[in-house]
Parts: sequence; C-alpha cells; structure tokens
Amino acid sequence: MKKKVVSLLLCAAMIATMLVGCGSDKKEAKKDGGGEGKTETLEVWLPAKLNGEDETIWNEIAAPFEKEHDVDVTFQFISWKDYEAKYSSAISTNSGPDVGYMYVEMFPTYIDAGAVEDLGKYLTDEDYEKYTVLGEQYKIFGKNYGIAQSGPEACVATFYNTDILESIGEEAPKNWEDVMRIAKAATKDTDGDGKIDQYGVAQGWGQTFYQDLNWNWYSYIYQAGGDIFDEDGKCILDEKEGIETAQFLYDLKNTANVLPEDTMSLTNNEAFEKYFVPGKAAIGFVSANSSMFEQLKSNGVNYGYTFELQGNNGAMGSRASVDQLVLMSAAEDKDLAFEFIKYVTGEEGGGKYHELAKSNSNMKDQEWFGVPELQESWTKAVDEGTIRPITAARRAPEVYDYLWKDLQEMMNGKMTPEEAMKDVTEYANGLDYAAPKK
Amino acid sequence: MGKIKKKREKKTDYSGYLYILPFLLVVIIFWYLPILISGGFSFTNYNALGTPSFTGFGNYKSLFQDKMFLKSIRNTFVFVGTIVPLQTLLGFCVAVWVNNRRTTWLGKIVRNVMFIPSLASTGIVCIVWRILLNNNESPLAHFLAVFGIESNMILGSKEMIYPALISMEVLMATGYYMVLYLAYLAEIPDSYYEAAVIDGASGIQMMRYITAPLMKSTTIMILFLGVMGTFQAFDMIYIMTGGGPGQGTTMTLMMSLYQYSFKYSKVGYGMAIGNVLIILVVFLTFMQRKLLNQKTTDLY
Repeated sequence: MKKKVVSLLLCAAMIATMLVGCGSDKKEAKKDGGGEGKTETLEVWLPAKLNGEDETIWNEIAAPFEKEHDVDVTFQFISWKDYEAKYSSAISTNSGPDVGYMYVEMFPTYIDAGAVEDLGKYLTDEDYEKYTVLGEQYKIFGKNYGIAQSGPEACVATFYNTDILESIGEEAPKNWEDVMRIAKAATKDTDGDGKIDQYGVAQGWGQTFYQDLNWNWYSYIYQAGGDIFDEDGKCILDEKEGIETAQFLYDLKNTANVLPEDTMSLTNNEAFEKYFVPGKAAIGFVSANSSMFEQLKSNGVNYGYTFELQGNNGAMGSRASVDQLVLMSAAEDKDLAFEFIKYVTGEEGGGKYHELAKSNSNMKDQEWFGVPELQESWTKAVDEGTIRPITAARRAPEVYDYLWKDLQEMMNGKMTPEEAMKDVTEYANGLDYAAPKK
Repeated sequence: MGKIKKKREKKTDYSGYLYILPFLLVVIIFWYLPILISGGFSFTNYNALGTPSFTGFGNYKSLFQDKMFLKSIRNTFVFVGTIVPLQTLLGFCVAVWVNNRRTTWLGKIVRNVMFIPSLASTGIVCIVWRILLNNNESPLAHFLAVFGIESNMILGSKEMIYPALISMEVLMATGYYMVLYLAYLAEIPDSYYEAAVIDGASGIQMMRYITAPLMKSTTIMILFLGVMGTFQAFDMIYIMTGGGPGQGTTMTLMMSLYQYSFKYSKVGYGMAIGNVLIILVVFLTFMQRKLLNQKTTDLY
C-alpha cells in the first residue's frame, strides 16, 4: 500500500511539474525582473560576432539604459550557423526575444508572419534626418523594419598583394579583365620545384552552406550590372548578367586555372588565410574589416584594396551587411523595446558600441571608430552606392542554398555556367514568392 | 469459504502498472505525442510562424517528386549499407582480438583507445577532422599521402567525400560496438574453447563454430542499433559537408528534415520527411524483433 501511495505521489508530482513547466508564462517571469529588484526584463538576441567579447561589450553598453529605465536587459548570443533556426523555433513557441537582430535574408519570413514591427510609426523626422541607414536601399519591401547599429559592414573588397603585382609588372586591378590577366601571370612555380606555389586568386568554394555567396557571388553580379531577384521577387539569374558572372568565376578555376588546387575544400576565408595572408596569392576577395587589416599587417603583407572593381561593362558593386535591430511583435512593452533599439543605435549607446567593437558609423557627423584607413574609401563607396546590401526576397534562403550548391557543381566542372544559372532560376521561380494574402 | 478463495485467486493486482506509470507518461508525452503532432502537421503548410492550413497529402506528393528528397533517401541507404556492416565487422574483430588479450597491457590499451572516440563530441571531432584534412602538413595528410591521396582535396571532391565520411563514422563508432561485443564475449565459458582445443580445432574453426554462433543475437542487436543510428546520422554530415559538395551529394534524410524545418521554415514539409523516416525505422525495428525471435543457437 505504501509503495502504491509513493508511486501515485511520484506520478502526481511529475504531472504537476510538467504542467507548470509547459504553462509557465514567460512574460510573467519577465515581469519579475530576474530577481535583481528590477521591475522589468528586456530580452535581446544577438549574433555572437565580437570574438568572444560580446557579453562584456553589450553589458557595458546596456548598463546606463538599465539604470535609467530600471530594467534588466538580458542578452543571448547565438552562433551564425544556427541563427535562423534558433529564431524560428523560439518564435513558434512564443519564447522569442523582445529585441532581435536580423540580416536581410531573414526579414521576409518574419515580416510575412507578422513577427517584426514596422518601425514607421515609431521613427520621427529627426531620426530619418540623423540616421544614414534608414534610406531606400536599407528598407525591406519599402519599409523600415529595423535600425542598423553600424553603417554597412563586412563590405567585400578586392585585396591585392603589391609585391606580387610589382614582380609581374602590374598595377592594382580595376576590372575583371585586369583580375584575369594578373591572376594568370601570378600563378606560377616560384621556387623551381616543378609545383605551382603562387596563385592568382585565393578563393575558396568549400563552405557547407550559402554564407560564402557573400564573398563569391553578390559583388560580382552587381559588377556585371545584374541582381539575383527583380523588384517582384522573380529570380533573374538566367539573364545575361547572371551567366556572365558565372562564366567569370568558372573561368578562374576551369579555364585560367588560377585558383589553388584545394579551392573546393576550403571556405573563402580559409583560402584567403592559407594563400593570400602568407603572400602566396596575388588577389583575394574578402570583407574589409579591422581583423582582416590587422591580420595582413601582422603578417607583413604589402597590400592594397579597392571597393571599385568593375565588371565587363564598367558597373561596380560591393556587397555589405546591413544587419538591423528589430522590434519583435511579441514584445510586451514595445515602447521600451524601441527605446532600447534607439539607445543602442543612437549617439550614446551606438557611439559606445562603435568605439568598443570598432565598427562603422550609422549616423551623420558621427565620430569614426572603424578602421582608420577604411574611412575615406568606405565613405566614398557608401555615398556613391557602390557598397550596398543585398535585396530582400521571399524564399531567399532556399534559393541561396540552391545557388551555392549549383555554383559548387559548376566550379567542379559538372555544369556549365549557363546550365547552372538556368537550373537555379527554374528552381527559384518554381517556388512560391508572392506576398501572402492578409 | 471455497467461493471466497476462488474470488481472491481471480483478483488481478494492478499495482504493477502504477510503478511503470511515471515512465509510461514520459514516453507518451515526450515521444508518442510529438510523433502524433508531427503526423498532423505533415498534412499542413505549417511554417513555424504562421497559422497552418490543411494541405492533405500535398507534402507527401511533393516529397516523392522532389529530386533532393529522393537523393537523400538513396544517400541514407548508401550510408547504412556501408557503415553498418563495416562498423559491425570491425567491432567484432577488434573485440575478439582484445578479448583474447584482455589481461595484457596491450589489450587494455587497445580497448580504451578504441572506445574513447565514441565518447567524444562529434562536433569537436568533425572540426578537428576538417582542420587535419585541409592542412597539408598534418599527420593525417602525410599518412594519406602514402596511399597517394591528397587530403586537402577530399572535402571538395564528390568522389572522395563518401569514403571519407564512411571511414570517419566507422572509426568513431567501432569502439562502442567493440565494447558491446566484449561484454557478451566475456560470457562465453572458457570450457567451450578448451574442449575445442582438445578436439584439435583451429582458431578459425573455433571462431566459425563457437564464437560466431554465440554472438548471433548480439550481432543482430548491434546491426539494428547501427542501422537506426546511421538512419538518424546528422551532426557529422552537417559539419563536414552540409549535404554537399554540390547538389545533395551527401544529403541524408535527417539533413533534409533539418534543412526544410529550420532553414527554410517549411516545417510541415520537414515533418513529412520525419514521418517517412519514422516509418522506415519502425519497419526495421519490426524486422529486428522478428530476427531476434530466432536468436537461439545450437550451442545453448
């Protein structure tokens, strides 16, 4: 009898625990303020992107805001690889953040689901005047759904090794033709052992997901004068510009043979680190950021860079990240959450972030904390529209994944550039890309 | 008096059910309920964010017209068909070898060295493998060079990636299966082998007529553990290749499920894939039960 009672009690306790666990109201918990005597909690989800310093930097930035608003701001830092998966699973179970952080590719899904707020009703004329990241090219489907904390970041630049260029009697590349010519001349056996040990371009095609489109695709298609999607969201990669871009990349590996032999096994950054940084490649295409400049300087590489590489018809384009802080529709205190966004993107909090994270400014007449040598070229390229974010489109992650895998097939010589572009276009336009009916 | 006794004899004691109730509840709530829910969602266009609407068998129809899904089924079967026999055979051979030397220092070292990889985090192991493969100066690169294989070409090659993934998976899992075999090998009485030696049996004959038949039920269990584990293999492929290089070269059912559910927000479609996987695993479990029912050997 005693055992039966114990068993029943155990069952009851377990059921009660499960019900309490399932039914606990996150918002109620938030109201408790994390047990630190504060009245409210604000949950913020960000990518882990500050070399392990995220928590320290963000806590320092948020401290004055917490004090002023008597609020406890809690941060969660998520790795890029699982970033979107984490958001979709959390939001589906109503356990997402109050303030989120999204890159362009993420927006359409969350906008269609009503998970992020249009900031139009919160932003003032003064905000539009002060921020440099609220203009047309930063809007998603014509609206401001977020505010970028920094000006365009991770802008793709063409880096070149000036010593190698000098040794082959070349100057900085200005267009694709220059890149091809320089790369062919630079690819050689320099120590006479019969093996190629210096390459034209340090490029990697082995990334396991579409992240490396950032360095290996978007900028080139802008330079060809094209894009992936048109204004209606239809994929247009099978047009002349798409095929021309694919052909240029295909030729680098399969016609001119100027890429390292293990190009298909390395990510683009790995290839850059393995070949360009030690001075074994003439050209590389990576993001121009502080860590890249430091790495090159510490390795004693004599280099130059440009954002203004031109395609065959003179068009220019450098893809940049303009990730934005967003107000989640599930936030209980939307005004407070928006206040936080304005604080961390504004003069005080934003300025502090720029200083600590060495990032680019997002407001007019703001002090520059980015890489000093980048300021002039970056400002010019941003003002002229050469540096720009990618275009938002529905079902984009699916298309990008497919595009990346087809580009790998093409670079491996299993598809022609034309076949690859037609295949991606057919796939992309076979998916539903219309806006959902409200 | 006789009637009362008869009544008491007939009375069934249900208290046993009470004792299994806590575990049963856990199983129902955390295993069967999600399966049922996923079954329901697989008939909708659920995207994890909006309200799902019923699409009937639409997801299942699309599945069997989806080239990538068909590729992932084929790849999964290729992995199961190669990894499972290899890791079972290798596990068995190593276990027999170690069992014959279980008191020697070499036997103890081999047992531990083989088992440790199965305890390590697959994620970390894969990251290390990536570094070793892509570094021309790594010991692995030098070792593979002896056989004329350029390690830095493996991850990007559609032809070489399969053997590489299979080898990694087999190397990681062999130790675990070796330990399972060792536990059962230790139960075989030494007198069987002593009698065989007196009868003049050779080592191969002892293996053929004593060890192998007595390991039949263990082998069946290991085979099915391996089949189910390989069907659900995910982390190694996710980290090493992401299903590539190229279109679906190493895409498996679990990778497809993850991709559609979380990366593309097509949860309904992902759950349809999950249900196909469940049906396959249930079918194999059923087969396992059938085979296990014939586990008795001539020796017992």
